[in-house]
Amino acid sequence: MKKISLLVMSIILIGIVSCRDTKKEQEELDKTLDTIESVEQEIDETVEEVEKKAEEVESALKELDSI
Amino acid sequence: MKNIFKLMTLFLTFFVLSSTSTYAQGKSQDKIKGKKENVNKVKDDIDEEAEEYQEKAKEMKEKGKANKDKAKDKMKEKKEKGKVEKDMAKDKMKEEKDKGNAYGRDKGDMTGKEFGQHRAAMAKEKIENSEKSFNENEETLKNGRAKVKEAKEKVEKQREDKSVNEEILKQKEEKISKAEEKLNELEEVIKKGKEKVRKKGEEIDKVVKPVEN
Repeated sequence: MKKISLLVMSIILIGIVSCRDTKKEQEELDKTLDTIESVEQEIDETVEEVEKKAEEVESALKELDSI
Repeated sequence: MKNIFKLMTLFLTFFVLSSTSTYAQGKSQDKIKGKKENVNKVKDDIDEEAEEYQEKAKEMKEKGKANKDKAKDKMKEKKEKGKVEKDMAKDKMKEEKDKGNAYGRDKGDMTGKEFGQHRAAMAKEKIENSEKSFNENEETLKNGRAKVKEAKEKVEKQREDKSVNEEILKQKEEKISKAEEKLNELEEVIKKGKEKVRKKGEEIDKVVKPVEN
């Protein structure tokens, strides 16, 4: 009987620790993903800005063809 | 008697000659008439052919017009179709962008760490692509600078030659200045973009720890 209760206690303890680890891992993952997504968004915006400026440059350079 | 005979012979000769001439004249007139008829016939034929061609041309013109209208309609249709497709693609992109978070957080069979690595790899790929884009735009910048230089030299030469009006030269110089200004702006944007992307790359490296095997 004593052995059984010890076994049950151990299982419960392992369960609790495991759940805590999973929660922590999920939190870390969410944080990482937030950072990655924000980086991706900023990169997209930067590239878009550069492309837009390049288009303006090309248009201004086209005007020089008639010179 | 001899005289009478002579007179009769003369008269007969005259008569024969006259009738031959009339006959020849008649024949020649018939010939002319025939030719005239032929000419008229040819003329009629030509007129008929001309009319036929005119009708054909008219038909072709109408057909052409119909085809043109048809082509115009087709073009319009295609344009509308293209617009619809473009809108659809735009909507899809927006949808995917909206979905972004959900897609970016669907781990599947991966563990948290593996998934983090996977997403980081995707972000790094994006960084690499952005660097490629910057390099391409730097090439545009380089070519643009060369073009501006060339244009400046050209205008300077025109000023020396006095081949172009001063007012036109000023207009040309304005265009060159505008292009130069845009090139400077592009250079600045690329510079800032590169710096930003470099920092973001470092940020990604910091947040993602390598998977321990």
